[in-house]
Amino acid sequence: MLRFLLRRVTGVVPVLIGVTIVAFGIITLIPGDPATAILGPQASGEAVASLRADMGLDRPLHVQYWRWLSDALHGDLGTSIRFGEPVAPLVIDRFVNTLWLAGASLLIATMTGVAAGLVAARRAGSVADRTIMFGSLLGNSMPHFWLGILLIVLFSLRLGWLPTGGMFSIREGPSLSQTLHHLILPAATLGIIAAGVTARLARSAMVEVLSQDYIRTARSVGVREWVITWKHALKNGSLPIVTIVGAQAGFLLSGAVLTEIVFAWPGLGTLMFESIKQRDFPVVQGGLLLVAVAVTFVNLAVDLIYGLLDPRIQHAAR
Amino acid sequence: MRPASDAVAPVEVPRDKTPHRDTDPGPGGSRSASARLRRRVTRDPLAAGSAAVLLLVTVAALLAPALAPYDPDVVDNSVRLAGPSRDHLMGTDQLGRDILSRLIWGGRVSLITAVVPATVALVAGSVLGILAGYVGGWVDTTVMRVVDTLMSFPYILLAMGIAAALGPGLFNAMLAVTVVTIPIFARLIRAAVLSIKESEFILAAQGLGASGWTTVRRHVVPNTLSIMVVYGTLQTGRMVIAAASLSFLGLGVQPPTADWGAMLASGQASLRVAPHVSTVPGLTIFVVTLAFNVLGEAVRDALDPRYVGDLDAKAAA
Repeated sequence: MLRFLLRRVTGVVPVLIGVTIVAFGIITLIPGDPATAILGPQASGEAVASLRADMGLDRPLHVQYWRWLSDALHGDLGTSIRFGEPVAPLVIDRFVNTLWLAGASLLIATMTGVAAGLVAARRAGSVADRTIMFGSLLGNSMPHFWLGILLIVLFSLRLGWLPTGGMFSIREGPSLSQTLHHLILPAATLGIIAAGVTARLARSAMVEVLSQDYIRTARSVGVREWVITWKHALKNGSLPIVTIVGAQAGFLLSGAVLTEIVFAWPGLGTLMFESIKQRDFPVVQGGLLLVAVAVTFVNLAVDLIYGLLDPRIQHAAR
Repeated sequence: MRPASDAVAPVEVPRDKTPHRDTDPGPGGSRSASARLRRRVTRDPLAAGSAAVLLLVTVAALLAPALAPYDPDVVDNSVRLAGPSRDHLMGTDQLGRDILSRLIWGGRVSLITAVVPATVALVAGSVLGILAGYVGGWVDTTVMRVVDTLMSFPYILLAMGIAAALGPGLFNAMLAVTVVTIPIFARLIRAAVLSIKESEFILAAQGLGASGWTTVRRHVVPNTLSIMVVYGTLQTGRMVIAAASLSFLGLGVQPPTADWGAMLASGQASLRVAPHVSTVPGLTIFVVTLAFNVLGEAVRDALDPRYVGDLDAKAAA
């Protein structure tokens, strides 16, 4: 067990180093000089030189990276050019809002996706199965921003039931009930699309479990169908479902970026989008780093949970 | 690759003896892959419809100058935000431009930004996947660590970062989408190669002294082709959305050039009075993506469903 844990945890280290290199390297892709890109072509040479010195751009690349990494490890991701504030608290604040959205969507996706996948697996080959799988394909093919717009048109503009965007109404101020009210449409947008993927994967996991000998035996001795489904099949099918839920982390965070922009949800996606438009690269770097580290740790957690639930995985990893 | 010293006497295994997956008789009989695919597409109305949609969109994009009823960039303030009518079948946008004409012209950009990155990423990802899977050892470890690193970034977020750093524009958006897609193909093809590498015909070829290069060229590549075709088609659907997403964010092709993602974004401001300005291009993106996905699944079913299913599990592991 300890060996498995150590192996998995140490395996993450090179990925984390790679993540920091990519997040840092993004700024080096800027054609010409990032200082000029930030200040614009009209900026004086003096201003550009001063910003270059402030950003440490006058030093060799590996020195810049090392300095940036050391600062990042101490929780310092630089200063936002637009806000003049430290990047770390800024991106963490917004990331919390993104987690609200991603968490609510994950709940919708898991509940509806697993239920749909279970129904489809139990009636594999039937009309219900084909309908659910086609529905899942529709979800897979739906751009987040378009579904978001359709929901706004229907539920906000036509019916007037839900707000078009934001996290709370200015009149009533921030509160939990306001947040939840504003969360419904963006979470539904993200959740419906993610449910398509979940349903598909849950179906294939459950089809495999339902074809096992012990399920056939349980049926042949007269165990009731709901007991078979809930007690035997779902319990054993929960392992792949853990992986599915974990694998959704990256997908949900990707989708959250676009969904946040459509609904003006003040999360990390909106912040990154605004920062890109304003060429606030320290925020872009910091946001990328934070999300990638979060996804890496979610993947590690899923790996470890999987290993704990199924000891065969630990043996296979040796 | 196998070290040269392993190759005692380079003997080439005759090509027709190799059990190519796409010429193997499948469970359904002894038809060739292309015949199975033709049969699948012609007998499945959904797959046939998807093929027809893609053909229609491609032909329309190619013949845009002849088919588009109006110049896509001509502004006409007298018909701003007009609904569908006989003059403008799909209405007009906030500048009075004909939406149908912009959709037809926009198809050129939107299809190019999906198909070109998908093809380039498929080739680059396959080379990396074959290299990692076949050579193994430190090459595999290095390639897979890079792949893991890139896949730790949410797809759109990384593409946004790259496109933002390089600057908005068609080429940079295509480059960004390509870079974030290469790891997906590399991982899938590596999983396929790991499985093929253990096949008896590969071991036989190696035993007969075939060099690493010959084995890869003659046996590994032909046997991964069907996987490449399947995932290439499925991934192109995803690329349509990815490319439209970058355009939607203003990081793709720049105005006034027509593009589906940019059209959808520009219509957001007038959702209350003219929802069709956003919903029509959105519907087009959705239908084209759906067509690629349905066709991709048909190709997968026709070529080898069990094998690809196994591959999904391996790639996810």
